[in-house]
Order: sequence, then C-alpha cells, then structure tokens
Amino acid sequence: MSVLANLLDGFSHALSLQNLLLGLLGVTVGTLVGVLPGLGPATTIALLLPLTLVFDPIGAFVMFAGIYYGGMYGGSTTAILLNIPGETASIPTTLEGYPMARRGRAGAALATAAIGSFVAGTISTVVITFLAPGMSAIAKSIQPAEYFSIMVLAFVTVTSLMGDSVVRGMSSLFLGLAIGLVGIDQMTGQPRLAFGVPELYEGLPVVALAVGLFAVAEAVSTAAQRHQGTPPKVEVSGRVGMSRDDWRRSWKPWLRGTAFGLPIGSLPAGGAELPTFLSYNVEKRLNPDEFGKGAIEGVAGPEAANNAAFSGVLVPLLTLGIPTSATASMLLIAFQIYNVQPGPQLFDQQPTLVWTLIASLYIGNVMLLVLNLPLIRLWVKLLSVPAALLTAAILTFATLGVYATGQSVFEILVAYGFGLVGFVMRRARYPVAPLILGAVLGPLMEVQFRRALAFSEGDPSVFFTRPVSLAILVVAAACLAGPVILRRKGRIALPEAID
Amino acid sequence: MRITAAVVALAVTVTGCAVGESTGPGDGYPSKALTIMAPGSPGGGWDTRARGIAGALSQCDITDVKSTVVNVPGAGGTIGLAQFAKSKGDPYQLMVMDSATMLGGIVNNHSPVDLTTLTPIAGLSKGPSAIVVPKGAPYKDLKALLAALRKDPHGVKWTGGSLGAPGHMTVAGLAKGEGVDPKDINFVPTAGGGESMNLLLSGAATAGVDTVAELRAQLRAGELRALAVDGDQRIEGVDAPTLKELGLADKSIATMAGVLAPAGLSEEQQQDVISMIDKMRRTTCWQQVLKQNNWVDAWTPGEAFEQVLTQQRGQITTILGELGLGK
Repeated sequence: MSVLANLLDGFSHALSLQNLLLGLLGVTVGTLVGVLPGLGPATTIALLLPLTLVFDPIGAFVMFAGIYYGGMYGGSTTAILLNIPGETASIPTTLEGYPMARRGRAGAALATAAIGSFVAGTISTVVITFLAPGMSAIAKSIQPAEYFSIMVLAFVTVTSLMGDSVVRGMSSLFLGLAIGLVGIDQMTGQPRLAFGVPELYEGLPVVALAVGLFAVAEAVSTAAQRHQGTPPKVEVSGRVGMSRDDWRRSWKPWLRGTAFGLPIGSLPAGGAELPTFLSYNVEKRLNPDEFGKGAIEGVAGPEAANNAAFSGVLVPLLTLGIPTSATASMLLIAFQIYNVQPGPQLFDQQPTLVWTLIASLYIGNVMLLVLNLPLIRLWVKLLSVPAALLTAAILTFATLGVYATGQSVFEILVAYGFGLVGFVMRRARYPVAPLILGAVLGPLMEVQFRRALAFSEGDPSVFFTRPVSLAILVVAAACLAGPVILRRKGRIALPEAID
Repeated sequence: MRITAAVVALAVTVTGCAVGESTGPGDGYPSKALTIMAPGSPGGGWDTRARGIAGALSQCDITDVKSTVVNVPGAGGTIGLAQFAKSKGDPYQLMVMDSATMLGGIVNNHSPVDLTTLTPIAGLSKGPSAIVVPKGAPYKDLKALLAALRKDPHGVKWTGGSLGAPGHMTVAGLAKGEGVDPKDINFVPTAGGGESMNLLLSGAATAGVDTVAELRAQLRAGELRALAVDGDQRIEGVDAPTLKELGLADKSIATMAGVLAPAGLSEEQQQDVISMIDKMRRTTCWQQVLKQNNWVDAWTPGEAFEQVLTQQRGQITTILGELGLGK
C-alpha cells in the first residue's frame, strides 16, 4: 500500500465517535495538567496507563496524543500569563510572552502560540508521514561530533541575547555555564561545585532555576517598586486574538521554528530545548528592535519549534525504539503493554497501529485548536486581577509547581535563591536569558564534546573530518564573522555617504 | 505523589484483573497502610517496580490496606536511601531497589548508608543484559572482541548506562580478565538505553552492554548482533552464548531487583513481610508486570538476598575502586 492509502486506512480506524471524544478528553486533560503546576504530560500518561487495560490500543493512543499536545500548550499558557515556565522548552516563550501579557497583548501571544503549535504540528506530522524512514536513516548516523557542532551553532547565535553590553551579557552567560557544571560529572564520576551537598550531585534543577529567575524575581521586583506609585494596570486593548499585523509577523517565525524543531527533534539525542532556544535567538537576530519588550516573533518561533520537536520525537521512537523525552518513554511503555515493540520493523509488522497513531496526531492537533482558541478569552481575564494579588498568586503557584515536580524542599530553596539572584541582575541591568541558555545547553555541549573526543581517542580533528559536522561549523563561523564583516564594509561605506 | 499512587491503585481496582492465588485480608500483618519508596523519579525503573508491587498487592487481593508509592529521586537513589534508613523498626515502610545499581550509587555518591544494615526482604527479579556490536562489526564472537581489547584497550569503545552501572562493571571485569587495567578501558557513559543505542547504531561505539529488553528490537531487526548474555541461562530469541558457557561468569555482576525494609525489624516482622511479598509475586498481576518489563523471576528471600548484597558489595567496591570511582 502506498503512504496515502495507509494514512487513509489509519484515519478510518481513528475517526470514530469514541476516538474523537477520547481525543478531546485527552487534549482537555493535557491542557489542564499543563496549566497546573508540577504534573507534566509524562506523569499524566503514567497515571493513565492502567486505562490501556480498558481501551483498545487505538483509543488509548488517540487520547495519549491529545494529552501530549495539550500538555505542551498548557505549559506555554503559564509561561505567557504568569512568567512560570513549566518545562525547559517553554523558557524562551516566557522571555517575550510575559512582556506581551504585561502590555495587554496576552490574547495575541496565546493565539500565536496555539496557531503556531497547530501549524508546526501539522507540517511535522505531514513530513513524518512521508519521510519517517528516511529521516531515521539520517538520524541514526548522527554522532557526537555533529551534536557538538549543532551546539556550537546555538552558542554562536547567543550573541543576539547579549543586550546592550557585551560584558554584562558574557558575565551572565558564563555564570550560566558555571551553574551547568554543578553536579557529578557524567564522564568521570567526580563531583563538581557540589561542596559535598548530596542534593547537588544531580545538578541544579533547571526548571526551579528558571522559575526563580523569572517568576520569583518578577514578584520581588514588583514588591520592591511599592513606593514608586502603583504599577500601571494591564489594559486589554482592542481585540483579544491576533490582528492582521500579528499574522503578518507570525507566519515566518512559525515556519522557521518548524524548520528548527522537526529535524533536531527527530535526532536520537536532539530534544526540544535546543531548537526552541535556537529559534528564539534567530528571531531576535532578525528583528532586534522590539525584543525584550514583548515581540510576537519571540513567542511564535519557539512555540512552533517546541511543537515540531515533540512531533519529531516520534521518529526515533517509532523507527528506532529510542524514547528521547519522558513523555516518549511513557508512550513506549504503552506500546509494550500492547505487545508492540517499536523499532526498525514496526512499520512492516504493525502498519495499522502506526498509521492510526499518525492519524491520531492529526486529530489531536485539530482538537487542540478547537479547545484552546475559545479558552483564550477566559485566560486573558486573569490579567485584570490587581497586581498585588497577582504577584502573590504567582509566588504561590511557582512554589507549588517547583515542589510538585521534584517533591523536595531543596528545589524551592533553589528557586527562591535564584529569585534573589534574578532580582539583583535585573537591578544591575544584566540580561537573564544568556544565563539560562548557558545552564541548559552548556552541559549538553560539554558531554557531546567529550564523547566525540573519547570515540576519536582524543583526536580533535574529528570535528572537521566528518562532513556534516564541518558544514555546521562553517555555518556557525559565518554567523559569527558575517555581521563583523558587514559592519566593516558599512564603516568604509559610511564616510562616502557623508561626503 | 501520594495522590498519584492512590489514583493508580483506584484505576487498577476499577479496571479489575484476574485474581491469582489469594489468602484474603485477615490476621495480623499488614493491618495498616503500607508505604513503598521508589528512590527514583516517576516513570523510571524503580518507580515501575514499586507501582507494580503496590498494584499487585491491591489488585490481586493480597491485602485490603492501601499501598502508597513515594518517589524520592536524586544522587543515584542515595537521597531516598538515606531518608528510608531513618524509619527504623517500621515494617510498614518498604523500599524497592536494584542490588548492583544501588550499591554502585552508594559508592559513587559517597553515601554513608550501608545497605546490609537494612532488613533484607527478598530479591524479586533480574533483567538479563547482553554484550552487543553493530551489525557490520568484524568481531565474530566475544573472544575476538576481547582479543582486540587486549591488543588496543583504548581502541575498543564501549557504551551502555552510566558510570559505575552494571554494564560498566561488566566491561571492567572482562578487561581485567584479559589483563587490561580497568582504568585503561574506553567506556563512554550515557544517561540511558536510548543514548547508548544511538552511539551503537551510528557506529561511534565499538560495543555496548545493555539490558536485553532495550536491545531486543534492534537485535531482531539485525541492526545489532549479540555476542553474549549474562547470567547462566540463554535468552529466548537472542542468538548468543551465556558468559557462563564462555567461562566468564565471574566477570559480570548481574543486578538483582528486590525489596528492603528498614533496620531493626524483629525476625517475626521480617517473616511477615517476606510472606506478603511471596504471595504477591505468585499473583497473575505480578507475572504480568514481569512480562511487560522483560524481567525474569528471581525469588531470593531473606538471608539469601542478604548474601547476594554482601557478596556484591565486596565485588562492586573492588571494581569501582579499580575504575578510580567513588574517590
């Protein structure tokens, strides 16, 4: 059977009334757990695994696909409205989403996130439908050297996050890199910067760190401004959704975000963190003016990248049997309950199940939009709560969320500690984004670098002799040198213009 | 996570399940709610085990009392372990663990808790591992691979699991058998099966050690080739000799998953817990859990489990010392 016939067959299994309702239920539950602190999609699916004993596999997968998409979108809702990123991949969304909300544009931010997720999810699913086997063949051949080069590219684009002072930006980045070092070194087993505290052996929890730097620091800042008059109330101006201008500014970031998210997400060690940060950096480079004050591109791009990456995760899961996220490992367990072993032979052995799962992804995507667009009106109302109350609510919510994810008081201390750090940095006009990028991507880059060297027995030429790695490094070098060369040309051209 | 476990238990009860051998609730232990600690995060191996036990206890009618799973992740399970060790003399606190994984975690994380001071309940299951190479590799059998290792210790690049995990110890044991200093092996640790699988499939790694459960799909598809399996029994569907057949049985440490209770239980209390777990493991519910997770039953109650722990503690401390870990 051809791909299309297979897919139609998949739809014929997935499109029953029961399955559509299960899909809607999944999206609703997913959105709820995404919005509520501490219960991510992975835990939710873990909780609902026993339901697989009741439903046929198809029903269960339609529902799980709904939870998957709903959870992701719910996470960006808190990031935009409350400055609380529920997971690492929604950190870039907070950077522009929350300022947008403070300017009364929460509706547009939520809409671009929802529609961007839908667009990215749909494109990614279409691509997976037709190219999954080919993608997995490429993904399989990617080695640590290539992963390292992709990380280099991400760090090169970080210059766009530096703000107006390179020194401040670099200090923030290096502080983040140092934070990323904390814990037991994976390659040698030596504790680094842990000072004998066992809680630090697994590193500083990144979500607690981000919640501290964003939500807690914001609350402290608001409290500190008490004597400078009441902060301006958030006005929800004009229409709730996206204006024509918002559409014009969003569609390119959606596509670019998808272009980052899908390929990187489909790599066996890709994940969603790298593409979301990469997308944010690139969007900021392309439109530097409004960033930091609430640019819609900064929400549209990362949200699309996030959703595309999560769809990409299915490629290694289905074709190689490799789960690359917590949610994916839950799906893997669900497969195994039905005695299905994802791997190279899955498409041949269980075609109906695979194509039904892919069809249910399409359904999940549509359901997400159906459910969430009307909800935006409701969410936006939250912002008319007086600042004092909202601040208190954010603190409560942030504390609950951090405690619920790790169930440890230590993580709350981390969040509050970094809340103070974030407050001081804000006062001294240090940008926070490079810090968080360093803390998230630094450890990933280090481990790939050292693995690549271990496999090449210490020969650093491995980064240049593997063609894909070399190509990515050349692009990175161009990104770094390009603006300098252009500026120099500009400088030469300038006097002539004056004459 | 208390709510979580309750919901799981509820969902499981509602959905129902074939009832296995059951004595029903009644005399003595357990007369109040049980707490089962998983010293890892939700969704991980220890968590799956703890929830499997809690599910089987209520679902297959071993007891009427509630079993709650508590997750205390961190530092290779030693954060949970340290907390667990404090509830001395309480037979209603149980903890799931893996012998080699946890003993290794204790050494690596400098944990002061000695596993053998806790009350051993039972070893429950094993998850066999295999030594594999990518399909194009020139090594016909384990002998050929080990010969290459002897010739150029650094040229054979191993992967599989984290530093000091059972896979790493197996590689160290094999190297030592070939007269190679364990410190000279080129072992690239990963956070989990998925990552090491990628390193094997992309051709970056020469060989890997992982659980058969994680390798099975690629073995079946012919992408990987198994050279040997650990333990003393061949594995169905895996075309490879056991380490025992190859005369290398003493080189690997087969981790055994089991249950512990806190220190200070009377012999009678210990027997109560053992007989409850014994009833649990005979249920169809538990058999189902074993099958789903590719675990093999390895019932080793009380004393015998303590012996496994004591013996492995010695082996592991030696091997990890030779690897330069835990310093």
